[in-house]
Amino acid sequence: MAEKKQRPSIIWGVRTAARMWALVVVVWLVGMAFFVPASVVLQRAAVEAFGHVPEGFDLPVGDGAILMMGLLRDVADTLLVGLVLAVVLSWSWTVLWHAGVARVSVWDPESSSGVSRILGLGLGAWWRYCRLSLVALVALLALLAAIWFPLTLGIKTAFEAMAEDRMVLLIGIGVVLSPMAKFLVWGATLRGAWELARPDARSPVMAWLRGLIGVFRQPFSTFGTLLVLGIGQALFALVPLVAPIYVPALRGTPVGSGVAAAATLAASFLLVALFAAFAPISGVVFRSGDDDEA
Amino acid sequence: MRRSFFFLLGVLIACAGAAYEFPVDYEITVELNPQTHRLQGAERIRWTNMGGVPTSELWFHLYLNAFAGDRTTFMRGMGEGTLRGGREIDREWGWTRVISLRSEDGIDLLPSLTFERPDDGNPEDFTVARVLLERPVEPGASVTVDVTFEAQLPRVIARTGWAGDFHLIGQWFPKLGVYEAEGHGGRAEAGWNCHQFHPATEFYSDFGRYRVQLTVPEDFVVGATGVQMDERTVAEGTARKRTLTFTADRVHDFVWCAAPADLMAVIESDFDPGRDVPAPWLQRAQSLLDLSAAELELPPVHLRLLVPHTQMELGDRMLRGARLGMAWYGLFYGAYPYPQLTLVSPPPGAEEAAGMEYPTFITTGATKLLEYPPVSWLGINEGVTVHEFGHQYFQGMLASNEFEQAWLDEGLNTYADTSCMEAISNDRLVPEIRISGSWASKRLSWALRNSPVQVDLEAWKFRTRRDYGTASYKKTALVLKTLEGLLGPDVFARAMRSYVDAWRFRHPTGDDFCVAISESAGEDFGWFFAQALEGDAIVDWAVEDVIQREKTPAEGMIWDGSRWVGPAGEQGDSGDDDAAGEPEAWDIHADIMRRGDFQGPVEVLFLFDEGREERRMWAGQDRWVRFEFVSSERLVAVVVDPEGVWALEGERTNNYWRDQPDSGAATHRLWWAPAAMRLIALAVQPWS
Repeated sequence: MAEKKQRPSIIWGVRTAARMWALVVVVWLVGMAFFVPASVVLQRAAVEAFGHVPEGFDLPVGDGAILMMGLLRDVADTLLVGLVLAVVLSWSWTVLWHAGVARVSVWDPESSSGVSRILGLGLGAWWRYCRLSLVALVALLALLAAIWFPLTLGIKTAFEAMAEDRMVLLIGIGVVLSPMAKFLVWGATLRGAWELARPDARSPVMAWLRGLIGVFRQPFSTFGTLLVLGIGQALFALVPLVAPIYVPALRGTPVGSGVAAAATLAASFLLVALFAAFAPISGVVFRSGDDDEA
Repeated sequence: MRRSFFFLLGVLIACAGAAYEFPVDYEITVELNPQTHRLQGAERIRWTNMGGVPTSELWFHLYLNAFAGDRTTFMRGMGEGTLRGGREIDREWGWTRVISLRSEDGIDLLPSLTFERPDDGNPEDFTVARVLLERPVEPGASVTVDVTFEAQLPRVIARTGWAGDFHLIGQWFPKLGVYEAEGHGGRAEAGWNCHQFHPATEFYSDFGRYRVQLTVPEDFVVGATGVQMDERTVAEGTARKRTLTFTADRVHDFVWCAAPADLMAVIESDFDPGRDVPAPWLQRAQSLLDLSAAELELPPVHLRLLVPHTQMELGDRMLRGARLGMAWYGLFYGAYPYPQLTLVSPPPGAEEAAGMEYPTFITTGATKLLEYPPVSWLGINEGVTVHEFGHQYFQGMLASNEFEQAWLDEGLNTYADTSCMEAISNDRLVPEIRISGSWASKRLSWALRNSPVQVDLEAWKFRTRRDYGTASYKKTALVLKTLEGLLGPDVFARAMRSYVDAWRFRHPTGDDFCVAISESAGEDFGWFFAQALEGDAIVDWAVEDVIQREKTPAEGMIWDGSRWVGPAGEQGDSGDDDAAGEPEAWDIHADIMRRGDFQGPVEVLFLFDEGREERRMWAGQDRWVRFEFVSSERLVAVVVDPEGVWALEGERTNNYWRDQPDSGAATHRLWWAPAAMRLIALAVQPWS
């Protein structure tokens, strides 16, 4: 029996991601691959900087930082280019698989969810989804400006009036509102991506605006999904950086690499699940008891 | 009870100064009008000629005239208009006007007043005035003059002025320069040292006794140099005013702060050596200085903190910083000799008054944001407080000429406060500080710069203010850290302590410092100071080249002293197979280079296979040296300056050499990099 759900669903997202496990792996691998050139540059410079330090030698106070600075200074330009390129490619790749997943789910739900099928469909809609993304970026910047411009004036006035309590309060308001703005745009963008997947949708701007309206209509399910899956994937993405701080045995060791790989794979899974969780708003039909059909 | 104790202590100390050995005595009365930010004052100055040569002149600093317009030497040099990143002066100018100037005989000296420009001849600068006396003052004799003046405070700039109702009143009265004897600081003849006020310069004046009466509105709180002796309230019409009397002995300046009580709170506290001197520090001082606990005993000190009500939560940390600074400096540089220390944290909008030192009075620099993590983890509050307190020694008690040799105060203090903050962090004395690394950050900051800059230069002669800051603060601190490494921590600690003890209240010069250190160390370190302070040589050692050849058995005939012997089976007596000695495996030579121009001794560490190590010293005079070894083990690594003695060295990559660079170890050090890079991709998610 078909049951039409038109609100984001965490369970739907997780099940879809599980079904699209191949895509999850590709998202994971490709996401890492973009940073390989920058990593290689850094590792080679690191060998130059640190590779000559005797094994087990206690560096004098300050030498570690100086060697690190020298390393970064030598490769700064190349590294910057590599990182910018990686970010641009990450963005472009995300747009691609978002478009593909949306298209295959709405346009061709009966087909297999093979990676090549998904990416093929995504390529066809890539430019339209790029425009959606740029709308989202403009909206995010505009929202942040709308928050911080008046706050900055208020902070400046408070500072000149020596009203520190008011100044700190205003800064606190900005610190709280900024991630809320980010979440608002994120929710609107995810919803907008599925709106854009509808066969009758043409305009990325209108799709994003419909997405934004949807956020206000379904705030709890939207933000709840973002909190669980969005924050969840960010936390998993942080594990490779944070865990070795507290567990030195994870630093640069095979075990550490294994933990990092598992954590980033989990993050990729949740990332795919997050996007897929918004599928129901596009009218994708969920057949209860039947996990394989939309 | 405690206030009475400190009051009595202040009186006793003031009386002790009666056996007077300092040249100047000020009695000042002044009233502040907080609406116009103007001072009306009168001072009686008694000056004694200790220069050894008669003089018919008195030279005065009129520092506030630096803010009288945009063409003064100070304002021209400011360029972009701020000193500490605060707002520009905004045409709220400042000035001092001498209304009358008479000798104690009643002779009007004002007509003889001329403005002098000894540094740059700028006719628009009025910060130095010279007055001719009716008769010379003989050596050892005194002259007394009465001055009435009016001073307009600028909107707070360069550590003085007002912001709203807050007033930080520094350099506000006509103040005598220093009459230096022949030979002082290399002077060819005795004369007045009285420089113009430049943006990069601070102050230089004589020690003496101050007795100052301040009149402010009744609802104002006041903090000042010295100790408050008296207070009375007077009514003038409908207005009620407070007149407070402060006295300070053996100081060279008087500064005060006045603000409404509803803006600034006053916290009274104390430094109790029994409670506030950390035991590890006492032990360390005893060990390094070879002094007993009794010899290191410190007196109690009253602490008085003026802090905005909005920053009350930070008050504890400021006071804790002051106590720790007092403990550290007291142990290593001698007891703080005054009964009280006043601290002021300027409110927001008055940040140009922050981070400054005056005798027995310091301004810290806090903001309410320091209460919240992660900023609260950085120890900024404590760092500024310790640094400004430390100036009580190098600026307050030693009082070198900050115009001509700023490094003697700023650099020595930066060395001392960095050591103190390092100890605070290592001994976990402030649990709130979670991010530290004082010497590491100093070295890194210098390494980022690492370009030639001379230290021993008049403050206004540096090409940029950045050069002034680099040379006077961090480079000097690293010079001292390097010297500590060369001498050893105990010898250096004793040398510094001897210098401070010997030169208290005596205006030492750079030469005096260098001689004091060399004498304490028992060897002449002139070669070091010449390069480190007077020159701009860069330190850079490098492992230039390492060659290792497997040593093969010798071929051919061998002379045994009396005949030729050959390898077995050849004509001539066959030589003893052992005549050539034990077979050696490696013929090694390692070239160490001095890439920088700074010459000095440096240690080189050689690590051989199977864990053997050798350390050799190189005098570092030539451009390079070759170390040769014949060893059964292969050389696996070389490190120049393995202990990091040369803290001045900003380029360290070339100090290390390994036979086979270890990519695994390098990767291990950068374990965080791949993860950090991937996190950058998180930023695109909300809009992709």
